[in-house]
Amino acid sequence: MRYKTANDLLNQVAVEVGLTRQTDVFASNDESFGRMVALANACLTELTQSQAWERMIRTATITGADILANGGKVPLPSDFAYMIDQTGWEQGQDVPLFGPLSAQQWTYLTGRDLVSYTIYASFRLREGKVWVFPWAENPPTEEPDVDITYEYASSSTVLVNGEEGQYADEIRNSGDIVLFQPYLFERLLKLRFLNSKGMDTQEAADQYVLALQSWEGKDKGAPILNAAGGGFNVSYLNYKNMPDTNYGDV
Amino acid sequence: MLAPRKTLRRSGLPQRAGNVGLPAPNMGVVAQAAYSVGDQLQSAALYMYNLIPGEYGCRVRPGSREFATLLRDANGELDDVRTLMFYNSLIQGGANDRFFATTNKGIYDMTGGSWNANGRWTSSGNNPPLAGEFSSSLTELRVNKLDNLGALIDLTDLVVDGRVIIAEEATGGITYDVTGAPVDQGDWWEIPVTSIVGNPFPPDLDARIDFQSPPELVFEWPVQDDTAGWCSVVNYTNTGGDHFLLVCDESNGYYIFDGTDWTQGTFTGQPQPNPEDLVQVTEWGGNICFVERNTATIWYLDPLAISGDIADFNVGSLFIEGGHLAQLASWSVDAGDGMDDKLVAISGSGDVLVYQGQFGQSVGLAGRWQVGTVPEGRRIMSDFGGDVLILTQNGIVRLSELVSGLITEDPTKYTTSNIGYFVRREMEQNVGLYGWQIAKSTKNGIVVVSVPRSDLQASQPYVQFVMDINTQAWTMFRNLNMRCMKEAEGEFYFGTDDGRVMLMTGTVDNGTLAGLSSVGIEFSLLTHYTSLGAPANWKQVQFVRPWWLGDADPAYLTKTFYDFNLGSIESSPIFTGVGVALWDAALWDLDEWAVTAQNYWETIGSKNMGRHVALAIKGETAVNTTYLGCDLMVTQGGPL
Repeated sequence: MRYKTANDLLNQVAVEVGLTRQTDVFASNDESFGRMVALANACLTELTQSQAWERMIRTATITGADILANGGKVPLPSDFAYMIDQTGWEQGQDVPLFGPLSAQQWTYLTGRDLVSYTIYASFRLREGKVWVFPWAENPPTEEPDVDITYEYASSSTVLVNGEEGQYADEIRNSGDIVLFQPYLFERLLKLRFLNSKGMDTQEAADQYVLALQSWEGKDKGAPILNAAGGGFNVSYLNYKNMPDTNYGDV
Repeated sequence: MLAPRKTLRRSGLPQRAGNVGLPAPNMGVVAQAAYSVGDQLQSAALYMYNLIPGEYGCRVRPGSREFATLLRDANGELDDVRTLMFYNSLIQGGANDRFFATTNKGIYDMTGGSWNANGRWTSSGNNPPLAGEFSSSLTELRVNKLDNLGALIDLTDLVVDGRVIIAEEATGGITYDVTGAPVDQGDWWEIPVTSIVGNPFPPDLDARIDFQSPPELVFEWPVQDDTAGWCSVVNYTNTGGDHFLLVCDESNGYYIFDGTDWTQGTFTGQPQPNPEDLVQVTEWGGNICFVERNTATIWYLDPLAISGDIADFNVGSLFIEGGHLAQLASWSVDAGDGMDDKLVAISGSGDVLVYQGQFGQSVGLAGRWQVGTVPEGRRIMSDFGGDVLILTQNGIVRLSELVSGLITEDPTKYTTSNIGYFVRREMEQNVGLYGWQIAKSTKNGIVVVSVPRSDLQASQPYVQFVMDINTQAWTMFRNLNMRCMKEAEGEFYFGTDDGRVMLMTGTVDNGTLAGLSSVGIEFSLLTHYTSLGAPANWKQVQFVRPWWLGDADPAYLTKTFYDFNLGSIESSPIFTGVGVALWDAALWDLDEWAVTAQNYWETIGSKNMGRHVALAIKGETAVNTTYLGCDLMVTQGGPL
């Protein structure tokens, strides 16, 4: 299995640190498991913030209808963790979305009274919403002709009881599936658990660092690097296979 | 050239948690000084139930099973069993011994226990002929004489007030009271019973049927009031070499059992008391002595006589707090030149008089003390290894301590000083009830103090105070329905408030006569608080690792308590471990046999923090189990 249930993950760590495996970690009377559940939820956040793991990436869309309905201040998705920079695009105009704007940039645009004239959509994040310029300052009365998309890291790191499409950002049931690489998650949980219990964490820290470095690289595909150079390239039309003169002849 | 990727800092830390050991509370319950500097009470408990602080550690107390059942009171109800009496005849081997129990209705002969017969009935295996039916009038059960294995079910001993238990073994059964003798109908028995609800023999039932008769009521009290059945007893052999059981009942007076019959005691001479008024009997220096109801008069017979000439000896003028003479006891004292029995008299107000000499010759007062309020009844004093234990509202006093200058106001001088808090609490509620008693169980190495329970306390668990004879440490028993006690032939018996006599044995509680059901024994403790050598520092117990010795791992919960919290764990898990086979009950190739006791341990997490630490445990077991102690893994912080 690519992912494991919370029950399996916590039991794996429990057995590794010398605790007794539980049939249901949420029903256990051993207070270790109460703490381990809390730490597991903290680990979800910790791994979420460490990088945008491929399983977390989502695309959000802001349509003209959204802008009209929200006066240009469109709520973020409920599972929004953080935006992936430079992924905003205004599909309607085939131009990138400008932003996120700084507070100074936003006030500059507002102060220059470009509200009515700008041709580029810009945005900033404020009050838990996407403020889209110019409509956030000048709410539209008609549906603007825009179609904005951006990518973000989702906090939906748990499949509730393994049911497809039922996401959560914390484990609440033993059957919840954690959408992180199991070994990496177990190393982090073990490290945090041992640390919270005042145990020796030196070996556990080494294990976690190695796992994190390894899985950061393996999370997304990448070309094979070759220090010797001379990799395979398709020869498109370029200066190497074109004549030097006579381009202007009729 | 790109710079190499920055390596994450490895941030592991060496272990910060320290290790300490917390031994089993072999000092028993010490309900004093919750804050103890120096940790001298690290081996003590603030409370402990159903664990005996004995050898190796704290062992789970023995269990209990029915010995006799269906002992009814004057109203026909299953109520208090008030006295257990053992007639120990002169005939070696026990053939002529008798074991009696009393209720306020009379005396039951329960020698050998209640009669029980059983068979097994299946709807298909025994049909035809008729296996089991009930009458359309719903007042008769009809059962084949042969059970499904072809064994004869003989019900000639099933009597009125007996019962039929049709039991699925998992449920404990449905009980029908027998209202008449079974009628032999050839191939089957017709048993009159109380009303039947539903079909006792449903087609899909595969059940065991038990038939039980109550012990024989061999003597019915003339007076069957609230105090009838509370008796005192003396086994006595007279000058003729005949052995008797001498009994004084609280409401009915003096009776004698000669091995066959019960007769009222008779006296000659003047003055003489009414035998009905003699409410307590004891033997002192060869004289049978009596307490007369509502007086301060001792009556005594001639040496080695059980009836005949009787004389009085009044002690009322020496009771400085007034009140009636409650009880007499004989006290063996080693005076350095041989054993010299003394007579001890105690009043209902707590005046203790000690006499020496012999009735008929010279009797002199050796001393007089006051022990405060004593409980109701005439089981205030009890023999204990040559000493006399006196039960008072403040606890138990040894007479030897009393006469050697004990100040009774000093609570530390009481034998029960370590559990004085619990004793006083029970006494406060129940000092006016019958049922206080001190008894010894040699087999189990304990002394038990039974505690009566009022109807208002029906929701509270039964409790007894218990001292381990070997360690002299105190603990408490729970969940044993104990109204009276008796050690006989090496076994320890107790009567209940629902018409049963139980045998203290085994590793489970409430084993039924039919052997169909029982429950595990629940135990709990809270150790004394310890500062672990640093009273002011904050501590967090990270893990606990309790150690057990036994036939199987008990089911239990642990909880670390901090800073003098006297709480408890609310519930314990049900024991589901493997039971251990018993001789005479288990079968080769079927049951699991006990082997050498194994040690068990488990590492369990703990939470919260504080400066003083105690460990609470609550669990259940159905096998021999001893708690040895606990490892703690603790992190320490600063004092603020």
